[in-house]
This record gives sequence, structure tokens and C-alpha cells, in this order.
Amino acid sequence: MEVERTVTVSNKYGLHARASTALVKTAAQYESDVRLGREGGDDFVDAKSILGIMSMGAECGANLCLKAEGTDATDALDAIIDLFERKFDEE
Amino acid sequence: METIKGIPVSPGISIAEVALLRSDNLRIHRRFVAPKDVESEVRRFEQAARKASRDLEVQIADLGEELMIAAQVLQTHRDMLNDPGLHSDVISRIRDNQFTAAYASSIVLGEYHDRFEQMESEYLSERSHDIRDIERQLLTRILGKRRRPRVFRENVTVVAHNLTPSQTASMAKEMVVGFAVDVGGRTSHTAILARALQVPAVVGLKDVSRKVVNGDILVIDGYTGEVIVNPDKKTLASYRRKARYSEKFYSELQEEISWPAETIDGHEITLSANIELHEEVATALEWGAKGIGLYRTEFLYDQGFPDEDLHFKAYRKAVKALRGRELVIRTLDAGADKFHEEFVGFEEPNPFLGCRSIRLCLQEQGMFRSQIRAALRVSVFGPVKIMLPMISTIEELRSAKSIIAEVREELEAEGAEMAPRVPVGIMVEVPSIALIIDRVADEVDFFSIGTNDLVQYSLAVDRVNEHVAHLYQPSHPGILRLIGEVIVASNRAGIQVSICGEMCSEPAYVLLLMGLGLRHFSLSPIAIPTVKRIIRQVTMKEAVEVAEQCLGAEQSSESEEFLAERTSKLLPNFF
Repeated sequence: MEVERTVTVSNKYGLHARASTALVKTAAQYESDVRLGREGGDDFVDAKSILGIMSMGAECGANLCLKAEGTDATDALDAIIDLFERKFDEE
Repeated sequence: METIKGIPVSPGISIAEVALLRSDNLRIHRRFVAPKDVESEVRRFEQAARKASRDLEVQIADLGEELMIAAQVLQTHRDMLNDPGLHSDVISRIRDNQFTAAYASSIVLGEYHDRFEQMESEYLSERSHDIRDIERQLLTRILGKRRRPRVFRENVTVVAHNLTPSQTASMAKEMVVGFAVDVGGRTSHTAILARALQVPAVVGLKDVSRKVVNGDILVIDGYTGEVIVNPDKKTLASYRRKARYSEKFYSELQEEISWPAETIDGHEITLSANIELHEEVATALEWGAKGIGLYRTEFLYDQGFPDEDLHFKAYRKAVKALRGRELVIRTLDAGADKFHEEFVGFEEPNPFLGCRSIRLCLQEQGMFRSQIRAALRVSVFGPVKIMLPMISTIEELRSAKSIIAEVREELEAEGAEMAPRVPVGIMVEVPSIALIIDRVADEVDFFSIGTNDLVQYSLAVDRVNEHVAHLYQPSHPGILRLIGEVIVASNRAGIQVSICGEMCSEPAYVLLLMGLGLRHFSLSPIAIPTVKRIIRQVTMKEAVEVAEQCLGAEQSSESEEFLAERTSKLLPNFF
């Protein structure tokens, strides 16, 4: 199964170390292959790779596209989008 | 004794012996393995990564709750070491190119390092140091070298070219009372950790690690960014005093930082900051600055003439960090000091009266134009003003303005984006211009009174010359008259007048300057809370009375005594 969703980075610091760590941790709980990239762009990185995520340099306000492929793809994206919506629990 | 200027990233004063930390440079050569050994080399990498990750776990456990920030840094490193992307990249280099584990790791991490280093965001570009750090940790494990952490037995100031995040974290529990580092910015780990530990730190010192040896005495002023190597007795005593009072005083002031700088009877004074480095914007805002009233650009010239791009990048960082607040960029004000001979190419018999500042800029127009181009171009990112220093005649002002107009046309022709209007003003620091200020007022958008030079030139006193230093009197009635004239002329012309000399950082002169009619002060960031505290305790009526009394004084010693007495009542802890 392949799922695709979009999300806006809305936490103050963007995908910095802490948020990226949380993202990796969440993505790693699922079997599916999860990738993310800037909306409309061609470069996608592995959501389980902290170096990949941080090197995107996604700041607050950036629009991202998430793609998941695998048996639990929908659940994986739900969990990740929830994390973005909770602003990575940065208050 | 030598003073080095850097970026203050954690407030406080420390005085201690130097412990110099050298980075262990691991040199990795291009080496290959035999095809039959490729898989064992892959395992070697995987084992090393696991061990390095476990080393970090141990360190994290040691740090405990109170050093959460250090622990978070190390957790990120652990995640980076376990990154599946990193593993697959390194492994494919070993398999496809038959590189050794060490060489493959350093190639892959080197690529990550470069990618981060080039990133626009200061925070992310600082993360390139984390990459170097995990590379070092991984390589020590691959090469089987264990690191021995250094233990300090007495209070020391740690000096290093660059402290890696794990080095900094491992020092969290040591007897480190200060940090002085060659590289880095406000978001470096040294900065973050020093703030968490409440230890003063200055970074971006360029070559402090080459200027000191173990055992030197180092003063770190985490308020101003000054680091003093082997201070003389007098300097040492003054820093001991500053250290004593600042601790108490500044922790009290912390609460007042967000309060408005308003008198009892409701007159607001705008307090902006003077800075030398774009990195200081954050410090300035932390101390409550409303904007940057004086950005000294001389630092950009310390490696020779900077090109437009260097100016542009520094200014853009400052403008962006200010998020809509104003930035006043002062064009090159070099001369009269260390820069001099290099710039003009000849020896100045009398540098203070020589080819300095705007005079130099009007001679070296190519250099001036690059600076103006950059200043105009950054105006698209936020409010920017251009300030011309050392103007002594109307002709100079007109020449500079016509160059600015030409540069604007040139940029427009190139299709560059700019704010529709970038105000141009002058520093009032040469008496000749102060005396014809009413005629100048129609040709500029603002005035900023530079009291340091105005006092020096008006009184014909070099204030660093100890034999005449007593004649350097900012409250001289003659100076006060000049300042008064500038205020009257700018009010008549309806333009803004501010003051940006050290005089307005001095608590004793705050009332006087307000009373003369000044409503905009630009001062060193650290002085803002103190000055604000004075403003909040007085009425404008009192200030006017103080100014009248000083204007009427025959000699400045009368005023000085009176002002000191007034100020000591307002700031009882200060003196």
C-alpha cells in the first residue's frame, strides 16, 4: 500500500535536532518505508534517517510531502502527522 | 596584556588560569582492502558504530537530569551514529570501492559535513561540528584508540580552537569556570551548554587558542565579548569589581528586561544597541534593545577589503535576526588605529586628523560602492538605514549621497530588489558639522551624535593619553551646547536625532542627555537594562532641571559631582 500526504512544519524551530530525533523515533516504530521531501520537489529523504531529515533544512512554515509504502503505511503517516500537528511537543 | 574581541554567548565574568585543549587530529589516508576482506571490513564498521553509540549511552547516563541539554546533544549524536542512511552509505563505499572502514566513514561523513556547513541557517550550519564530532568518535573506535577524558583539579578557563559537542558535554561536570573558543556562534554547543551551566563564554575569537599557553590568566567578559589575556593589575582589579557587582545586579535586572524604558511621567526613550558583529543582534535583543542604532562594520575588514558578498551576507543575517526592527549600518569608520597603514598605504603622521573613515571611502570609491551595494540590497529584508561617519563638510555629505544614488540606479538597472527608500544620515562627531547643523539638517534623514569623537575633537584631547585624560570631559558645557544645537536643528527639520557614543551608556549622563532633549539612545547591549532602570525612576521635569544646571555650570567638575550624586541615589548598588 502506498500513501501520500502533505503537512506544514509549524513548530518554531523547524526540523532541528530535537524534532528530527522525535520524527525518526516515530517513523522507526513502523515497518513501512517512509520518505519525506519538500512539496513539489524531487528530493526525498528517509524518515528514519536523522542526517537526511536535518539536511533538508526545513524551517517553520515549510510545506512537506510525506510518502509511505508498506503494510502499516496509513498508521505511520497518521502518527507522523500527529507529531507535526502537536508541534513536536515544543510547548 | 592583550584584549581580543569575540561574540559573547553566555553572560558573566570569569577570571582563571587557562587550560588549553588541543583537538586530536586524526588523519585518515586513502586505503583499500582486498576483495576477500570486504565483508569483515563491513563488520568492523558496524561494530565500531555500535561501540561508539554505547560510549555515548554511558556518557548520557553519567550526566543526569540537571544537564539535560548536554544529554540531548549526545542523544542526537547517538541517533546520527545509528542512522540507517549513514550505515548504508558507508557500507556501499566499502563494498563498491573496497575502501577501508575508516576511509569510507570519513568520506561519507565529510560529505555530510560539507552539506551542513553550506546551509543558510546558522543553526544548521553549526551542526557540521556535530558531524565532525561523530566522525571522530567513530574513527577512534574503528582504529581502536580510546579517548581519555581530561580531568581538571582546579578552576580553569577552557580555551580551544573548537570544542566538539562531546568534549563540551564531557566537561559539564568539571571545574570549568569559563570558555573561550576560536570558532562558533550563538547556537554552537559551547554557547548552549555554557548558558545552561551559567558559565561565561565567548566564541568566535578567531585565534585565541594560538595566543595563550597553559597557565596564562584569562578574563572572560561574557557581557561584552572581550577576553583579556594576562590583564595588568589595574584591569584585573576592575574586573574583580565588575564580577562582584554584576552577578547580583544583573540577576535582578533580568526581570526588568521586557519593561518599557519610560519615565514616571510617561516619556518613552528608545534604547537601541551598538554592535560590531551580526551575531550580537541576539544578545542585544536579549538585553531588551529595540533595534540596532549602530552597526560598526570594521570587523568585516580585518582580513583585507571585503567584497560585496561578504558585506551582504553579514548584513542579511543581522536584518533577519532583527525580525522587522531597525538596523543602522555605519559605513567604514577605519583609520586612526590599527587598520590605518594597511588601508591608506602610507604612514599617517596624525591619524586622528588624517585620511580616515568617510575621507578614505571617498578616495577608495570601489570599496565604498561594494559596501553601499550590499546595504541597499539587504533593505529588501527589513528596515535598514545608512549612516556616514566623520562628515566634516557639506561637500563630503553630497559626494557620498551622490555615490549612493548612483549605486541605487546601477542596482535598479540590474533588476535588484530594494526598499523604495533607504534613509541616509550622518554621525555628528566633528565640531565643524555640529556648528552648521541647521544647514545640514535639510540634506539628511537623521543625525546620530557620536560623543566619543565629538568630545575628543572639540576639546582637542586624546582620551587614551593618560597625561591629558582628565581633560576628556563629556559634560563640558561646550559639548552640551553643541549637543543642544543638534537637537534644536533636527527638531526644526523634523528628523530623528539619536546618540550613539559611550556617553549614553554611562549611568551618570542619562538624565542629562534626556534633559537636553534626546529620545533615542544607542548603547552597548549590556548597558541597556541599567540605563532603563534610571529612566524608569525619574520624570522628564527632573531631567530638564539636571540639564539646565549642567548647561549653566562654569566647569564640568561641578556637573560631574552633581551627576554622580544624583545617579548614586537612583542606582544604589551600582557604585
